[in-house]
Amino acid sequence: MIGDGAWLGQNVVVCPGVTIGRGAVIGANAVVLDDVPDYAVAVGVPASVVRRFAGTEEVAQ
Amino acid sequence: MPNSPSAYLEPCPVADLHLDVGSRQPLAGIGLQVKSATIGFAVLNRSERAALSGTDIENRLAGLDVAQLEEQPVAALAPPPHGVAGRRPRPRPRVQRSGGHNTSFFNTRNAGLEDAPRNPVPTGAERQSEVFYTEVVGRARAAIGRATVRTGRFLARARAKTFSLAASGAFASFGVRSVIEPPSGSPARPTSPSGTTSSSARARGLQTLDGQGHSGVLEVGDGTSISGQCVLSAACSVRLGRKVLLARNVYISDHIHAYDDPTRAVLIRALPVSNRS
Repeated sequence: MIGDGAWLGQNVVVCPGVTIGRGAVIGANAVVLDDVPDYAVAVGVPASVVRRFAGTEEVAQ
Repeated sequence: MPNSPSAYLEPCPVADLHLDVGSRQPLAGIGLQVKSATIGFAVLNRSERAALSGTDIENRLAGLDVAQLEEQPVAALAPPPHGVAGRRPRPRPRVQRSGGHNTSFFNTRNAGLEDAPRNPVPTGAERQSEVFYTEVVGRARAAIGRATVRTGRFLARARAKTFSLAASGAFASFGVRSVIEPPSGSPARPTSPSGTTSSSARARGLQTLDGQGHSGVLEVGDGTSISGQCVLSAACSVRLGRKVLLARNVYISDHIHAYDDPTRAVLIRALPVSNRS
């Protein structure tokens, strides 16, 4: 499942059973093996969260 | 040493000139402030040219007379007729040559060269017409190029819309403003059975897998943009929310080949679906 407003970069691979949260950003060439929380930036192989947009959850709600 | 500056023009040792120049005071009688070093430098050069002509390494020609060199003065080059870059010389016209034997009364080589125009210089009217022609052709080419690009985009959009209208029946639900571009390129692998929710004839594109206990559901939310060469493969359920942006070559799948039994080929194995979906 890909959440609302998510942005997946080029050549991203989302493996089975992975849930990408709302507003998440996945960097290019990333391989997502685990769930990505809402409003988080994940990059790399395997993808890991490198940044989270603080306070955006309240704004989105 | 003499006191007047004109006396320094006479040949004399350089060291004396330096000493004398260094001790010279400004011309207070005239009321003009002149630096003594400047005067000394100018006079020193003249003295050196007269006394040490040809001995200076950096300026060997300082004391030589042009008449002694016995060389003809070279006239200054005329500026090019068309600016600094100039124009490339026109190729010389080919001369019809007989095969080694000059059987004609006239010498063909000389006759050809005499008929050819020598260094034609365009007049002002020709230059203006050439500039006008260049501008007109450039504008016409730009207009044609823009029209071609717009036409190509319009045709592509029309083709995609037509394909979307034709293929909308294969989907369980299809938005009014949804557009699916026809798949392009050769399939990467054999096509899979079409699903009830969405289907795609190519391996690259939207794909659901049915059969063998699977019933794929692929759901795409409103306002989602999927770029080219993306693969959305659903054996159970793949859902994209609203306003999701996918770049090129994104691969999203909820299944993977089974590889728990290494004795059996992966190609003939069933597709295990993830339990986390």
